Amino acid sequence: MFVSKENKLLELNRRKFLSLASSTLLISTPIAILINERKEDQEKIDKASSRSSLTTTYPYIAIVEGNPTNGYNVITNSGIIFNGSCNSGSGTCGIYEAIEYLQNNYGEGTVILLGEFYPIKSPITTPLSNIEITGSGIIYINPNSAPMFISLIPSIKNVKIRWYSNIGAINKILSKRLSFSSMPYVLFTNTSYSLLFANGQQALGTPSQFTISAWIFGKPSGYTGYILTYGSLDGGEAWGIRAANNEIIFEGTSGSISAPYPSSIPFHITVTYNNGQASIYINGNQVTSGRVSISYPNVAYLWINNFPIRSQQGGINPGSWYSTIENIQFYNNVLSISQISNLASSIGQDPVTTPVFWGLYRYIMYLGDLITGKGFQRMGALCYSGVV
Amino acid sequence: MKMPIIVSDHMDPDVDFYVPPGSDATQVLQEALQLALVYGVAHIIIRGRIYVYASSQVPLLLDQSLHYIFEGDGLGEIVYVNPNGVSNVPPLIAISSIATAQMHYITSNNGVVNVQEADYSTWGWIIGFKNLRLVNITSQRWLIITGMPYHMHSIMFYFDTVQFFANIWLNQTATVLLYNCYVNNSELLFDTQSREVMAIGCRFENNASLAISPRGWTVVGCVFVGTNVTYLNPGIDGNNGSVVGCVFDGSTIVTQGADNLKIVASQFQNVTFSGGSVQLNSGINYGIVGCSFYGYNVVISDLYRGHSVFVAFNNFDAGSNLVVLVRDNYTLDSVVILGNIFSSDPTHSSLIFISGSPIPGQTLQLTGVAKMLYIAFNTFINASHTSGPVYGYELANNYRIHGLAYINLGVNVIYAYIAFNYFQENYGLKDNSTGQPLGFFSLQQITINVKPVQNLFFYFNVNENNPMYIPSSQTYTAQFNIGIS
Repeated sequence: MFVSKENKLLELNRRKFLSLASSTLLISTPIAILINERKEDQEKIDKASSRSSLTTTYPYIAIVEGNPTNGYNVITNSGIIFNGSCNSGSGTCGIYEAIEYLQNNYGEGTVILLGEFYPIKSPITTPLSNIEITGSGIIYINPNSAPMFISLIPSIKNVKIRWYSNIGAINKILSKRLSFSSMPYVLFTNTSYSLLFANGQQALGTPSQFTISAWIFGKPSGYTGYILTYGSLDGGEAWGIRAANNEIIFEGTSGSISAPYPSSIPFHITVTYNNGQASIYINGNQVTSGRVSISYPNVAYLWINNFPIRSQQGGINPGSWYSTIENIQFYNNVLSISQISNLASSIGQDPVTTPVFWGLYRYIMYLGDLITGKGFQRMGALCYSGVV
Repeated sequence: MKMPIIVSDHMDPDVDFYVPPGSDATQVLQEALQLALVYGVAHIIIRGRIYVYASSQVPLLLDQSLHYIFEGDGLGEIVYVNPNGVSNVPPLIAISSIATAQMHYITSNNGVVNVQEADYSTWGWIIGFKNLRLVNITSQRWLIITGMPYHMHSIMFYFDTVQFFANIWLNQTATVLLYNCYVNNSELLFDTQSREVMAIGCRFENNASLAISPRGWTVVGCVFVGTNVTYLNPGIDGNNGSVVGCVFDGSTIVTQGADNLKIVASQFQNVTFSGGSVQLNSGINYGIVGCSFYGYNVVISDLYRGHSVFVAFNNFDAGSNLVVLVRDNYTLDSVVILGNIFSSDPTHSSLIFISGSPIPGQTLQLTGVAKMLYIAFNTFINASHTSGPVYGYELANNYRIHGLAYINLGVNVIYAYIAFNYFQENYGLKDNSTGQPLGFFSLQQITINVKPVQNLFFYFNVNENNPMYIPSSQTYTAQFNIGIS
């Protein structure tokens, strides 16, 4: 669609168009009016300017409008080029189709989003040049579409981005800051760094059943090799997941189970615990199980990486110049095999049901628990400190 | 989008959290702190004036998950109020230190950090307040409290251009910096087991106080103005403090046992206000150097743990006495009074009194001992060259040491060297009590416990016809003097 800068006669229509386009009230039904007006004026509105209530950087625009109930349209100078659901086509509710159209026809342009979008795929994961995405729409991303839309953030203005599932504190956070990352943002550059999660005296409670899930990028230590620990230095260890002597270990207050350390990293680990019966799953497959006894100390925090009770360098060995412990989820129940398999399917897999704790999820950059919104305690020697 | 999170009572487009004027900002501030976890640093900009309503919970509990910088936009204001009539109002801000408390228990095995270092280090944790006016109009005495949990020495505060209309009470701090702050009718108390406080370029007035108990502190270039209840108060254990280049007008330095206090190059003068004083109590190794006292008494009392008092290169003008009092039954190792000028006027005398103070709770006996007394290179004058009264100093239990001389002793002294001093003619100054002309030296046996100085020496002094008042049993050696036989 071209809009003429010189043609003042058409300014009213253009303004009306852009005003409508920028209105959140316009979801689906007013599009008919819009299209009719556009058709009537189509020959005359070429190359009009975009100086209006909705400022666009580029003269070429494609409008993507819709909602999950009524479906989505992509309206262009060539007519409607997409009509379908978020599953259709690229799996981006037509947004990628609009981008593609502008790139192929003009090499640049503005995508205007009106409505609510629930994309489910990431056909592109690199930033775009000469494409701008604006409008009054809201994009609800999920783990599969997060890579695309996080990479597009430099091109996005005004459009809101939220998580598809309003879990914990996520959307409260995202409503104020687009705090995303496509990479893990806490890199442990040595074995002594640590993060603590405190929430009352016993941060994760005292469950008799639980599941803990995380993605690990690191190598086993020759000594302690703590990855995740629940306990305190004065009160002792309730349980810990360690990587030492080429083994992955889950230990309780007494008793432990272990299995060979995975041959490739990163890997996914799940530990389930059910009244003394513990199991370790690596990449969704159970590798060992056995009896482990857990006694909770009065003060217990979740320690991530180093638990300096036996060694000040008690964390996991770096996988390269750093190690990561990502996407940590803690549930107060024993997850099913299929749920564990689901968690192991992707490093960006979000919770399969509402967890007690969820932290260091790479897509949501937040130095704390995404469920409660509480931060990690980290201001002290051996703690991971400073700006995120 | 910028990193700072803006909280404001103005509806500017860049405001993150708008708080209508007069409404409660508690939740907004809590949400702002929670949001700050996306950065790991809470840089909260306060624009305009926001109010925080008291409730049963501490509104802002600052834990070790964030660095905190609360900054006014130009000048922001936080007013703590209690419109709901909460009976036990908690402080506005409290600090918790889970990480540091845990660091106390780290093993030393495979150490990358000394355990004590981990225990006492801030490790870079910062809590900063900038460009803010803090106002407390609740019944809670303290706006900010750092509690006293086990092993908390990890807090590094800085207050930069903060106006305190509120008291704060910080315990177990590490470094605290007060820079360009203003304190009005409020108390800044740095208390139990704190460390390293620095106040630089601050103004305390109108009953304001800076009370410090940390070991190791400095107050530089600060102003204490007002009546005598505006004060600098190194507390019982506020040891190793320095007061440098400060201005006192009507205000007071009072200590309760701080050791090693150094007061250097500071000005003490009742210019606008009256009643200022310096009262140093119970500590050791006081040093007062290069200061100017004008109408300010300097009283160093209850000295009972030996060591020394060192007073040098100061001017004591227009009613500024130097009083050194040793506790009964205790010994002060030495008093060094060196290179000062004591300038008297009628009714505003500036004399030296060395006497005693009682054991706390008992009556004054004057059984203390100042073992070594050096008074040298001082100048004693009647600046007005006119006659009139001079006054003594009232000790405890209505005992009084008279202003009989430029130097008045009323306590036991073992050795006294009085040398190289200039005792100017008194020009008619008289002790107001006895009517006797002002002398250059007196030993007053206020009680029977005051014995003659065991070894009294006068060398190289110049005395212009001023008498000496000593008991008949007092012997002395005088050589190379002018005017002392």
